[in-house]
Amino acid sequence: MFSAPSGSEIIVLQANLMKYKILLIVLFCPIVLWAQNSVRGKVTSDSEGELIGVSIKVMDKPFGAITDNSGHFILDNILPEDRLIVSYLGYQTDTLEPVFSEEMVILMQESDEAMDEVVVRGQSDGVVEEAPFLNILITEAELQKAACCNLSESFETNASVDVSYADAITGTKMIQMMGLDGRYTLISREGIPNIRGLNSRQGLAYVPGTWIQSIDVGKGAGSVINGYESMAGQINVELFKPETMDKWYLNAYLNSFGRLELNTNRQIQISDKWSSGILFHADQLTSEIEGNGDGFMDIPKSRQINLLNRYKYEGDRLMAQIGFNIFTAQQAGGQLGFDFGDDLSTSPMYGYQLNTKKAELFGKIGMIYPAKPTQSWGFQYSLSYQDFDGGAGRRLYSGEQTSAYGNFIYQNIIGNSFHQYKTGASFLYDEFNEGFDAGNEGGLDSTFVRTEKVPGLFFEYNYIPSDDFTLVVGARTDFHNLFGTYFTPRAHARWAFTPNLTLRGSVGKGYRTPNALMENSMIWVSSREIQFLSDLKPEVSWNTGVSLSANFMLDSRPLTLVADYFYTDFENQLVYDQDISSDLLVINNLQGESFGQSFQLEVSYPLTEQLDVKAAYKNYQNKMTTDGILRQVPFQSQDRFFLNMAYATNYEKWKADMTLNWNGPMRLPDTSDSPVEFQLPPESPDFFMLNAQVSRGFRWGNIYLGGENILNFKQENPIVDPENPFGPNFDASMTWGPIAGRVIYAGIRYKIKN
Amino acid sequence: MKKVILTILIASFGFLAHAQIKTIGIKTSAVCEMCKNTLEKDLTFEKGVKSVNLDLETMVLNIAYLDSKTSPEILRQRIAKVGYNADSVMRDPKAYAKLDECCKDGAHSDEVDHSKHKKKKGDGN
Repeated sequence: MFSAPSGSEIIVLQANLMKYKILLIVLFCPIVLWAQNSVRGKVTSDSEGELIGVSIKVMDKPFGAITDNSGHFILDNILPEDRLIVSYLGYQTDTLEPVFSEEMVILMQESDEAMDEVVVRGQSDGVVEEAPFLNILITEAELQKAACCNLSESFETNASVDVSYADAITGTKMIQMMGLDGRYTLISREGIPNIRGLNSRQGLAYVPGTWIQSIDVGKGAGSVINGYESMAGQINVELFKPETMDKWYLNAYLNSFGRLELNTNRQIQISDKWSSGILFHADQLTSEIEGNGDGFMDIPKSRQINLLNRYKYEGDRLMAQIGFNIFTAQQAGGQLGFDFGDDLSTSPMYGYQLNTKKAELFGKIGMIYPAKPTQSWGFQYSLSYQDFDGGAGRRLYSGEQTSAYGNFIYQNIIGNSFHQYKTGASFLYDEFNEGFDAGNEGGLDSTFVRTEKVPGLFFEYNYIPSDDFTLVVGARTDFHNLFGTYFTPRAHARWAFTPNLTLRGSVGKGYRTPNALMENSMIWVSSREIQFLSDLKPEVSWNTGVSLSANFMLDSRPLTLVADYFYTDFENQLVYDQDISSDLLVINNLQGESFGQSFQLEVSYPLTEQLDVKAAYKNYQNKMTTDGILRQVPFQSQDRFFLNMAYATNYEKWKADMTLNWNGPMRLPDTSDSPVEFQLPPESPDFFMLNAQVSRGFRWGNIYLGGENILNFKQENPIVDPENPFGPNFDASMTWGPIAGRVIYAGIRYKIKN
Repeated sequence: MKKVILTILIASFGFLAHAQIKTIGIKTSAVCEMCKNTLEKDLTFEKGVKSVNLDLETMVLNIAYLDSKTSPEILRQRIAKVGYNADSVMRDPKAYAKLDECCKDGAHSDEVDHSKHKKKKGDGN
């Protein structure tokens, strides 16, 4: 089609399916020396001629350029070793070496990937520079710093997500963002809402760590494209992809509690256009772990088998994938000796069981238009069924959730790429069928059946006038069959007002339907009488936040500072009130005020070439009205410190990591009406948690040895009145710290590359 | 039993006393940053190797190694196996064929060629 003009260079950006690999290849490719430091160029495409508004960034530098109305750009202060990253909506992002001697002519190729966000990924985790949202990316290298075991443990080296302990029976680790429970964070798998509904408390355990390629953590209200459910933030998990994963990836893990895990990832290239990825996980813990002498297992016995298989098709215009995920998982805990098959309702022991099975079919299909590369559409869907049965003590639970989700997104520009938009429609179907038997007289004994059907429409406009400024304004309207119309406006802005300083702001509304019986284990594991005071209403909140990030070179190494403040105001919230009486758990819609304020200051700096240090201070002021009084949310530290040190030798032959968390005192529920021996202090003590890991790399992978809770800190007497589990004072929900002590683990990762 | 332990101890002491770190410079056919990365990374994980550094200007790979665990000949063989000439040891043609275009002969012979340099299509298989 074209011939190379003699006076200029043509750079052909060929189709690449593996952006990151190409990025690296180019990074290490030839270095040419010319004396000048200014680069001029023009960007064109076969289909559209000169391209206006193309972003040209300089890798690892805080500046760049955007092509003008004739497709031209000029960059100053460029060094020969710098690399230019050229990106434009609908075209392949590519990385080039600068040419100083003459005008660069860059011919961009239409993208063969529909609906993939353009994100330039760094080597380790950190704030994603270009994102209008405050996004923190956790890469595979970062994930491997904490080897165990599933999504709930994947945030250990990340300061923005905290881990909390649900109770003293179920062994559930939960996450919090800005001090708000994980249920207020939308957790999606590759853009499809995943951990929600009846799965919102336990669901993190069903996403094995070795399946995860990277995690995006977004603080504050998210994009309207993914729904109305992100109230405090959103977490998107990217799994290993058929087209880029290793041929084989094997992992075995064993810890001192006796937990054994086996993971296998397998890639199969079926043809030029079809590839398949199989992800398999199995784990089991059959020994009874008891270290505090209360006769209860500190963590339940468990076993799980989990399989995900998907097929990806990449054609010239069409990209499609389809896959399934099935798993079965069982837990058995409570008093020592209680086993998987025992009958909860007749056992003389206080037992705990949770058995669940899930089957899910999911997929994506996307189309691009070679003649109009800025335009594309994509459709994502998921169909799933999950059932649960189990309970704790004499409280028995059974549940079923059938869900269907579809989201159609169309993206294009208005005139030029300064103005971009995404619009589309979604449909959400949830059918819940739950039964609960509180076992005690006058207690709760009923079934809950609910069907939600929610069609919705959304529109999001991106204004990107320059490299320094981005404005995203979006809104969606959803028509909920039970709760009426939800209108969800959201806005985000990013302004890099100097090369070193970036200011971000966001505001947005969020909604979700609570699932009281499943998402809060305090209903299960105490003898408190449960009272539902009113009909279920959706939870509604507004979230507002600002953040400032700064990057400076200090002693020729980058110092990064991020300060953020978020305010979440609940219009309605489902409140689990333990303050009214120590005999009661009152569940009611919010009566009064509830809000959360979160402040975080994070610093990261490489102390030497090989030693990275990251430290953070967090302050959470989360207040909720319980028993008529506005007070600090219980089991929530107001002050927290975080310190991570990461050491690695060249090419990661040796790696060592250490994370220290300090949790300030937490308010405990009012138990002043209990018998004196069962009363709790008003506050928990503060405590430290220390995790560390060492790994040795080989050509084929690595081996690792690590420890969690190395200081062996345990909450003393985590269960109130453990001698009488069926008595009136029994309560295993007064948990503020770790129950199980130190655990040492070792494992091996073995990869066979293609 | 005691004797065995003692023997092992003495043997390993002798071993340690004998082990010396030596350095060697091996002339390679590495031509760019990409080659440097490939070679250094591979040799980092070679038995007995303590440190590796490739000088791109002279194309010499400097290796510090324990002479009790490896030898210059083994190191040269390894470099050849990665796809590069090592002194007089010729590269493995199969490994060379798999290298990226920019690490092959001629990719860097003419400076003007660089900017024309075509990127290989990402191989997903």
